[in-house]
Amino acid sequence: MPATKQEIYRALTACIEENQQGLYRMAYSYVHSPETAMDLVQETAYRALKSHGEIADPSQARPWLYKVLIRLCVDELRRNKRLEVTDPAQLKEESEDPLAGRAELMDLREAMERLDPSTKAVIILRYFEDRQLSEIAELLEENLSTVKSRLYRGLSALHTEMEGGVFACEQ
Amino acid sequence: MPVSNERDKGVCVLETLRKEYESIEIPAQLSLRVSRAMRQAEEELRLEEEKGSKGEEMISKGEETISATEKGKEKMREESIRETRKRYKKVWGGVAAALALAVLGLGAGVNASPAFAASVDGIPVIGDLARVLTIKSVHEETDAYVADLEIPGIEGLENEELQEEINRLVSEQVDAAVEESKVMMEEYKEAYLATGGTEEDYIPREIFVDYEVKCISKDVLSFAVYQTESIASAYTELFYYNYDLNTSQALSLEDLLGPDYMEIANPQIAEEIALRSQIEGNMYFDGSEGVEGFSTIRSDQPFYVNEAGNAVIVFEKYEIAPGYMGIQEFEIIK
Repeated sequence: MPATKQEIYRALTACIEENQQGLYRMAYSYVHSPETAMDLVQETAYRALKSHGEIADPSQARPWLYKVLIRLCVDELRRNKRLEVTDPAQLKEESEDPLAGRAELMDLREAMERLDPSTKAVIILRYFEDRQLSEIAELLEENLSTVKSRLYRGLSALHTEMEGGVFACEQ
Repeated sequence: MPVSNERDKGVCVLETLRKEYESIEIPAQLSLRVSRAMRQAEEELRLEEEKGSKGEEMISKGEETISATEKGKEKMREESIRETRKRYKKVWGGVAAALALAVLGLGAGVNASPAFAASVDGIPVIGDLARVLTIKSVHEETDAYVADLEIPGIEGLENEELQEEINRLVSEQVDAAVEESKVMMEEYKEAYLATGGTEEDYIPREIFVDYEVKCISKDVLSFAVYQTESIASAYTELFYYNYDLNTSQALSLEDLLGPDYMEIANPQIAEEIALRSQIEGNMYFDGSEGVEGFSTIRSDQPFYVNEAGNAVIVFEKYEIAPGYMGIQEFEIIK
């Protein structure tokens, strides 16, 4: 039986509540500004709900949410291309980071930043948010093989050996 | 052994990045703002469902004002007007939502529908006296921007000269601000294309102008006009118009609070800041890290007069607190 609009709406609402932190982190990964990231998540929640008629099934709620967010992030990035914002708090954190050798970490961060938005989305969603490639394909509106190439390209850009890295992480 | 080193390195890279990602702090405000956005959407969706005759009334009112627009024969899209108005409510967290709606309904609406009049509570409109309403409604689309402007004017002031002056002033200021925005939008688009974006992919930025009546009585007229650019932009320009209807003069803080207005306002603001700072998640600049916080209001500090007849001092985003704290307002009691 096809889902009612009510069911979809409710699914979306629940989805927004569950995923707001993930959405925020994703937005932050693009814009590096808490204020902007919050604006983007806010706008995403608003738009996703207003346009809930565009999805046919509650299972599409989460990909829909991320799709809207990514579009808004890309938009924001393009608009502010000249104004690269680095969160000073983050910079401070970076200098105190015990996790990795500083140079290497900076390299990684830079590599992450240089990824094009869609590839970055694939890396974040696959490895930080543990999404299935099929869901990623749905929200990026690309086919699975395209998403896979993005994944591999992204990993290689991050200096992760394809064979070794993929094996280890695909466990 | 090389293979396992590579694999470990691979794991290490992603783990490192993942830990970084997970360490991104979630601001305290996030959940509040998301709830607000969700409620906004819900409200609008419900209103859209109740469209019916209300919608038609809006369209016909819209057509009356359209003759004043620059383009003349632009078809007023009811959808877009509502969107604009609601977007405005969204930006300011639903401040006086009823007011915004009331004003959209234009003068006739106040008397025509009891429910409508009820939504205007707190604003005494006496007899067939002065009203603030939209005198120019513009919807303009180019490939660089979309502008939705509701420009207010006054009607029914006893002093017609004052009325004309106010309307002219509002018109001028809004036009100037909007022109500036349009130029910036064109520049954004050029930058976008110059950095490799395509024409088809470009989504025009939006410019909104809207207004809010703060107080309208036989003594005082106070209203605010806001200009905002779309979504994730922090940019909002505020204009406040405050008039003493008995003297037909613009009202200043000194008029309202006396020559000691700064000495009266400053301590009240400082006290209120201290109170608000106690709420978790709130933050005001306090001189640390070289960012000065509030010390005194300026002589040209923006303000409006609320229904209680009190001055409300306004600080723009970033003036005394970080951007996420938004526009800060402080009511000053005489």
